[in-house]
Amino acid sequence: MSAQDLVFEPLDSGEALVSTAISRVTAQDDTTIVLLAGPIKSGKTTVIVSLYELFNQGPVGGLFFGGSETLVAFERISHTGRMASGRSIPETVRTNPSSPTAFLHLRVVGTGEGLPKASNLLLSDVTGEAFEEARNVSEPTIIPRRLWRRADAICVLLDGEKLSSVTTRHLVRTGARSLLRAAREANLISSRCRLMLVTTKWDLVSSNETVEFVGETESWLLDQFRSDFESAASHRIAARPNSSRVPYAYGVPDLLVDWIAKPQLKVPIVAPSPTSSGMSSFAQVFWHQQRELVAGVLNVV
Amino acid sequence: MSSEQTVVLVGLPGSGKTTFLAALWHQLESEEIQTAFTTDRLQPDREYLNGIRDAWLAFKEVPHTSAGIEQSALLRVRHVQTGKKFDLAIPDVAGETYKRQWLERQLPGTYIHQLHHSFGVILFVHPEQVLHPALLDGAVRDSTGSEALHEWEPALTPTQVRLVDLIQSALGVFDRSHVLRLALVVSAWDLVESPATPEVWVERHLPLLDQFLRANTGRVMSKIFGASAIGGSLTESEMLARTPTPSSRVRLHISSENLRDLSRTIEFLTLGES
Repeated sequence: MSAQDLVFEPLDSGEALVSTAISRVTAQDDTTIVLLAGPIKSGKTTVIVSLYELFNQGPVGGLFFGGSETLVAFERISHTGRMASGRSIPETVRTNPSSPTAFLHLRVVGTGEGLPKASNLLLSDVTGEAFEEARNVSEPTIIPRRLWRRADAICVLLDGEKLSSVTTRHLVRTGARSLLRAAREANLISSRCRLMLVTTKWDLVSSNETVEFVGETESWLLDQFRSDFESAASHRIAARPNSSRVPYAYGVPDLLVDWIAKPQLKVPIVAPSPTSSGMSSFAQVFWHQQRELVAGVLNVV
Repeated sequence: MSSEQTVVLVGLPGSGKTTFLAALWHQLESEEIQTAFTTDRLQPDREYLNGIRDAWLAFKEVPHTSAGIEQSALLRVRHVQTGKKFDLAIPDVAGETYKRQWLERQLPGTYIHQLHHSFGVILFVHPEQVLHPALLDGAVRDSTGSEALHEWEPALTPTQVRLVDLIQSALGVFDRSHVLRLALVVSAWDLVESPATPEVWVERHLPLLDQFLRANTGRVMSKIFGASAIGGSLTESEMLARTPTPSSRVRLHISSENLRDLSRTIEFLTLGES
């Protein structure tokens, strides 16, 4: 066979998935959509890169890497943290503001008891611009409403380095609160969504006083917003620590396990299915309309 | 009665596909050692196989398949234990073709066709060609000041990522009603220092690929082999020539077993786990 006989078929690009393409993934195994929200340089993309690099070394949090549709995208964003980049100091490329709703995909498979068999993760680091817009306007456009409401988990990042400074710590606290309040009042949060407060750069939090302040901030935010979410938790991570005091990707495995954990139902109530025979057409329409609101609360059988 | 099906050899350039095929053909045809298969009868066209075998016998570099050209070998074999007969088409596709998959995100149409009609895939990896993802130390705070920055390019991708991508692409075109059988061959096994077993080597050096195979047993039935189709370095030809027969200088490691019969890889693909 000669060169001219070789015809080539195109493959998927391997780049980040746009929001219109994620249905291909969600149609397969269980899928968790995670939005990582925080100001510029709070560490959103670094969290994702560190998770990918951990999998390049072995299983993470008891989970095997089961594949990815966005390997090319992962490689692009990981490059500046590797020796092959020619750098001596690792960096993270800034999220491309021209594609603020792009998702990175990981398929993970549990290796032990209590872990899901196979699960898809779709991770999106919300650009700093999108974060500010969501705080400031009631109808965000950079990350549209339907995407906020589709999220299974919203991670609000608190920059540990800025929390360590008395001149910037209140900006961090207030910024997180104003985002959550705006999201609540604009009805951006679905009832099945979980909240995770993630303090990043934990290796830079060195004083007891700062640790205390972080704890108070976490409690303060959780107390105010816990009831708006299916569940709420806090994490402290150092995705790419600046010292050997903590290991690479400190806290990231626990965050991953929390992402894919199945939410606990609030009230196990059995309700009729919209497709039950004998239900009036009005009742069927009612259940279809209410399904999104009640699905996280009721066992619909 | 046999029907022609394909065994597809997959691997990046220089991963050992053609050398393996040359040694396999010699072992099957020469009957110098006991093998899981015998050549039931000679296929009409043996020119390509005899050509690469001759180079292998003479301790010469087995000529790599040129980019854009595809050679195809047909083996008519009979499984000794079960008597089953197979016509195995073994396309020998240039490694550059698979390299192109990652770089340019495209697959040859013939490869897609072969996968549709295949028992499975033999995926080769050369232990001295594994590119690892070396991370920068986050504790370094000061730039050296003389950095020559390199933009990302696909060629910098770690080997294990490219191998996962190869398998994912194969799964994307493979008939989903069947499990894809994959024989992962670590070639030039004689070069592996302090080898444990091929499985342990893959877990240590290709952890992403190892996880992928463990996580996808419902879609991929895999087995890992360590193979030395030459038996050593070509510079050691005088020493290698002293083995009783050319077939006996070959090594195939399956877990802790040390065998010689390369057709055990074909046996796994055609008949599954024994």
